[in-house]
Amino acid sequence: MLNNLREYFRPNDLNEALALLRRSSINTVPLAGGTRLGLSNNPRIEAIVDLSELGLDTVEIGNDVRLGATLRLQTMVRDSAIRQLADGLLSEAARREGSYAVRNMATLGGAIAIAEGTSELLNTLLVLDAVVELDGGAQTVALGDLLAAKSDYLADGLITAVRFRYPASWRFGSGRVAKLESDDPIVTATAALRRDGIGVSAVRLAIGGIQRRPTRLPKVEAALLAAGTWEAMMAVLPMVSDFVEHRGNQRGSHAYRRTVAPVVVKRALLAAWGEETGE
Amino acid sequence: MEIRLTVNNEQKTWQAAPGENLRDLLRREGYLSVKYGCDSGTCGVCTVLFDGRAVHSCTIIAAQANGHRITTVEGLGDQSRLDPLQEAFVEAGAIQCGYCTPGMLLATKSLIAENPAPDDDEIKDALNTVLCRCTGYVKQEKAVKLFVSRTKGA
Repeated sequence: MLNNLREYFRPNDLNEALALLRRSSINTVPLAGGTRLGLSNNPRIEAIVDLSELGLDTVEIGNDVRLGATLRLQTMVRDSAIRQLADGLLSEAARREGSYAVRNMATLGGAIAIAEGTSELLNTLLVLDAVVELDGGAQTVALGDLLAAKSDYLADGLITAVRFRYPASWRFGSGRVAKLESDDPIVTATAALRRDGIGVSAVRLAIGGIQRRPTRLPKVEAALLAAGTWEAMMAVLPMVSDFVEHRGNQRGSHAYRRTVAPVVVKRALLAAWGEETGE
Repeated sequence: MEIRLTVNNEQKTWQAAPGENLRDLLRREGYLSVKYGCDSGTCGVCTVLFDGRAVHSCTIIAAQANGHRITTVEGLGDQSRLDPLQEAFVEAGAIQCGYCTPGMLLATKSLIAENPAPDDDEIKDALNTVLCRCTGYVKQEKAVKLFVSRTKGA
């Protein structure tokens, strides 16, 4: 319980919200869905700015896709236009962020701010090359850069939208290992690629569960791109293990993650490839 | 702080401690169908409808509910006049100890409002938001299907 909470605001103007959040006299935090903040016992939180009336729950889909920060995850699961994006993976990844009741409150912006290490939603946004808008677009930052320095960007910045190019010519796939289908994954990967004959002309790869945050692996992407054939791409995959920094926990040890990470990446690539590989 | 909200179609003005959650506020005001469970937004026995959507009330700060519409199982029906969904649960035997039943009912209400003809995966997904600690989920799933079959085309 937030025992020291003294003020609660629900402004309907973004500038007013930002002004409230930037007061130096009282420690004020934003509330999106509240599924994490509502469980907090942080004694330093003295005031809350509820973002739900700011009109940031928009869905704009054209050449660019722009999704508002307070878009609820269940809306992303249900929205027919969002379900068409990234071969359905964006919607499916939103579904995996939490149970039905959690998704009914939790938001896209909240998922980015929390940045779970195995978030399949963040994986998907990373391979979509998503850019995060802060403070209504006053500042933009690549999602990967924001995740790498989250506390710096969010110390004064408020996530207000996410945008990316409409992924028309890309093919997407994902892989995961978890104790149960409904359980949080141990390691998860998402791939996006453009096929070009027997190889690929472009490839993006994001992986969760091996570092503190979901991350792209540019060196692996470059090696896959240079490989030329499916067989050569598969020969590259053992290098994925070199990027495992996670020390291990009750879900999976460091050694397990090193072993399974290339397998999960292979599954993601197979799903994105979309047809027989000859294996 | 003062909280004005609508609970089961009745206007209420209550005092809440700063930071108090909606579950504790509702229980203090007599809505005892809203249960204590995991206290971590996981088990779902504190589920209520927030503007028609199933949510875990232990994660909702009471002030967050200010101006919103809350529904608990007390708002569905009573022993003399059950809601059709409650009747379906009784007929399917989808009740054992009953502790999670309010959450199951409200999760289903939310799902049906969103999609009156949910498929099996959607039903399981909605029920999965509530942890049943005794019977499992087979009879609850049957109950939801029974309710959906009766309301199809209605």
